[in-house]
Amino acid sequence: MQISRLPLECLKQVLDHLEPDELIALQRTTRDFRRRINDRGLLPGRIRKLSIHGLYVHDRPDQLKMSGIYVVVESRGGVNICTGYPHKRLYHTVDRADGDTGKEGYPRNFGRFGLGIRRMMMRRYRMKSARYFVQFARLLQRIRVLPVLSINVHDTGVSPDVWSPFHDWHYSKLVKLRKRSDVEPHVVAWYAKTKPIQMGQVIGAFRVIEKCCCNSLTETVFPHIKALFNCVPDVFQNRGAAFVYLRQPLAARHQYCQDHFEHWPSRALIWQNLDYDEAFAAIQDLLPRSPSLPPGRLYTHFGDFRPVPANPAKFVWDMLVQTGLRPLSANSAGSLYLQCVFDRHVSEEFGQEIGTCFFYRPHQTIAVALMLRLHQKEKKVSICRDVHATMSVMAFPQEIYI
Amino acid sequence: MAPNFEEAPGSSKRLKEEILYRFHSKEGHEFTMEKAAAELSGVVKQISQDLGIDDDESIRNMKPIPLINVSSEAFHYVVKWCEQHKTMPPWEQDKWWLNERDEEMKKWENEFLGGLTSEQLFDAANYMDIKCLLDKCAETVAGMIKGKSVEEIREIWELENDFTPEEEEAMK
Repeated sequence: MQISRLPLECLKQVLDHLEPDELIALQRTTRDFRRRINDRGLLPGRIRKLSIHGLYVHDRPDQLKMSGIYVVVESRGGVNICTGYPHKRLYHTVDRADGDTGKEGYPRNFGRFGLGIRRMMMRRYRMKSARYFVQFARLLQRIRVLPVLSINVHDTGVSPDVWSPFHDWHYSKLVKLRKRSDVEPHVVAWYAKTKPIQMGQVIGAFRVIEKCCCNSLTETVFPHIKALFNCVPDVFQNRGAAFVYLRQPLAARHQYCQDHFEHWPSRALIWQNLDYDEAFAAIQDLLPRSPSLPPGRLYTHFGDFRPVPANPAKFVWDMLVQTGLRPLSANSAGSLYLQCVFDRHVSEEFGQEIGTCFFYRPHQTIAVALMLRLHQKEKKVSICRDVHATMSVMAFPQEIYI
Repeated sequence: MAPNFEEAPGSSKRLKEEILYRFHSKEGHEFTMEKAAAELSGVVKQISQDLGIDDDESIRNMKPIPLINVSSEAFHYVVKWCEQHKTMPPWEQDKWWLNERDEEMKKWENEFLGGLTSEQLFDAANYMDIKCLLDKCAETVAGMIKGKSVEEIREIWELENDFTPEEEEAMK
């Protein structure tokens, strides 16, 4: 056997069984290994983000008790790794496109992607502390195995009625973390229903706000959003990072845009609660007003379609056909998916390049191609979970925030 | 000597009464695999699901699944593995505690993969998404790396050191 001939996916599996020193040893054997391991984000040093997810799950206060702080590590190779509910000693994998939920169980995926995190974590911390996150991040910093480039605070804003001391605790930990390390926490998503005083806490805690989401844009809430934007104008002006979810009827939404958002260089407006026709119309309407929208691209968020499309493949395909755009979907882990489907497969006539495994697993490539082919024949198919996982794995988390 | 694929356990000459999935290898050989064994493959399960194949008759009428990246030789070994593991509980990637094998099975697996000389089987396991085989292949290969120095790894895998002395120094 020639180990150097192992496909990357197989190599990943092998690396999963190796400790960090063994990974490094392998990397030092040849240029080829150095390239394959290092460039693909399999080795320490390529972690891009730690995301903190899910104090608040799917707008449902009753699920608050089910949630917790958890950590998503996204490598440059595009991998969401693992999460944990420290107070419950449960860990979830979030290698799914929706990013919010996953399997409960042992955090095997920490190791699955060859990072050896699981082993380190189990050895040193045994998942027993509510201080897990901070400890974990500091551990990564200290041992310099995984330099953390940024930390994202995700979905941590909540409606006032569910704000709790838990959130205060959460933010205070992050502030401490920022002080103690070089890590810059980023607010990635945040719901504008948060009370102004809490909004102030958020702004005070984080210097960078990359993405702001509001799940309701009303006259009541709007001043809060505007206040937030005004607090950090450079973020929105220079980075064009505002993402806004809109739930109002289309006409009202457009009026809001015209009245309030027009001068904001928001990269995209993202909507919710649209039926598909309305969505297409919104896209068409939105484009001329969003000069900063990357040409040919549209950011959307499947998770925020309510109801979630029963057939996302069809939806995306229709969107593609009707708008001529290339949809990129940001999942709640900040990953992009579907891009590859369209880049690598649809554009190549429904995945004739099935053998070229850009996906995490070849069978998932097949599943995507199959799905699209079936759709072409107007057979009803639904996107499968594996495909979701695949797409999430293919993420390019850095792109969405640029 | 290469296996006789016509008479192999997975060959199409097997009893028609069994519920068999049919496959085409890269070379175009047709193979069959018993349902329970074949469904260890994530690909097979996924395709069946996508095509709405949920009864035995549909499986019998199903066209051969093309495995364009799997050679006949590799598939021959895949069949052996799957036949051996078809009665095992499903491999849970995130639940390692469910995946304990008894000693006899471990011994069989070690012997089976002891002579792993080609990456084709590994690749096939990956392609077909047979988690238990994939994991075992990875473990076997990793075992050949574990605890070895850079030089030892190069020697075992016959890798040529193509770094310049300066680069090597920089990596230290």
